[in-house]
Amino acid sequence: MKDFTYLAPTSVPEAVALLAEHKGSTKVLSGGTDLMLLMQDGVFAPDYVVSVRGIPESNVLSYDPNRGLTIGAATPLRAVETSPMVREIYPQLATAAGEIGSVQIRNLGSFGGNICTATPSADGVPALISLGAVARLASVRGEREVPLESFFTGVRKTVLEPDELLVDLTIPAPGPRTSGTYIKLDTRPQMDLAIVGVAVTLSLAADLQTVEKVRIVLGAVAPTPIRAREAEEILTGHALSDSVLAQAGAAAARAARPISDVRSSAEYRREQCDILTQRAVRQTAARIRGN
Amino acid sequence: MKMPITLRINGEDYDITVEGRTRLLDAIREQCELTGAKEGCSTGDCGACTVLLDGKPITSCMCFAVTALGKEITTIEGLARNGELTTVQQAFIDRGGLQCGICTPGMILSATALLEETPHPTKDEIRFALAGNLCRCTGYQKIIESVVAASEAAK
Repeated sequence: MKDFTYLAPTSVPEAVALLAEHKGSTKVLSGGTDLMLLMQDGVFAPDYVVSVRGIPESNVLSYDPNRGLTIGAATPLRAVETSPMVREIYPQLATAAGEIGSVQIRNLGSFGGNICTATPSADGVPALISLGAVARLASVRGEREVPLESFFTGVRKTVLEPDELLVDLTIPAPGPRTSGTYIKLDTRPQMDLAIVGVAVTLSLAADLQTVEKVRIVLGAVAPTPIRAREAEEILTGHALSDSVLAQAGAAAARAARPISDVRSSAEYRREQCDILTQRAVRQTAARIRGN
Repeated sequence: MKMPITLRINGEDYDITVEGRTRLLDAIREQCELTGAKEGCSTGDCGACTVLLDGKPITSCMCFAVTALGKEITTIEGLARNGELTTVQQAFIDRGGLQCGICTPGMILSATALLEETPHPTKDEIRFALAGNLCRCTGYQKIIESVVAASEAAK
């Protein structure tokens, strides 16, 4: 690959100043497990690589019952996967983190990189969107917050400006009777891309039957991760029954716009959106009920 | 752009010269002449290049050398003390957990890190921890048995 000047800022202002100064010829480095491949293939050939691993805000993993969870853009996936706090309060995030690559990859890779690489099958994204994650972006023009749901515009395309940095993600604290599940369908237990990814975050009413709130997010079945809004509407305000779940599953399948590729056919992906949506909702409800 | 850096490997400082694009794997093998870490795929898929960075397994082919500044790197060469093999290394020999040996440094380092965190893992936990280390020779069973044996020897 082409050589570059390596820059390691230790604050967000320093980082965004560098991105502005060298605008158009920079890439931001987090874990490097995607960027390294893209640079080896010549997809990117930046003159400057700006590492964010030395920026404190980009390496946090902290929870506060009022503010919720903050994950730095460069926080290693392995830290999220193994954190007792994340596993208890946001199990769908711990699962999603653990589905990416291998232990070695997860000791380097990050949600920030997963998000900014923005492949349709990115495993971190559905769970984060289902939790209402908000991305904090920074540039010399200031900071802005973008709901992660609005961050993706196409395959490997995001709203990030060329001189803009993803600093961290904030996830609201869950209300009562709330939990989530991420299911990744793939052919290997690890080290594989998703054929379909389904994330559900669900809140049940006090009767533990009626759905108060639900978000269903599908990955790998459209150019970007998508909400299955019709499926969500079918469930919201209704008691969970086999027939309601079947209707929601069918709606999730309709929301998908999958392609056929080396991993799977479009038909199979659509079918799996139905099955896995139902499964993810059932598993989440069981966890909330304490089964 | 060439720049001098110091990498701390197996408790020793190595003063070397690298470029921004120099991978940690190449710095370790070429400049530091520690050839235990292997290049199997150059895409982070096979784990033959595994080293420990502050005790955590990483694929060194996926890492620029400059990003390892200030960290403790452990390679396979750093495990044995005064010629005495570790429990994990001895278990791989005793149980036949290797054939050609190319995957072995990575396997042993991943297994070593696993046993630090989980001293008595189940076979499933071992498979999960070693999922990033591919072997073309053994069919994995004897590798799993070696890690089990190592965990039992340490009891």
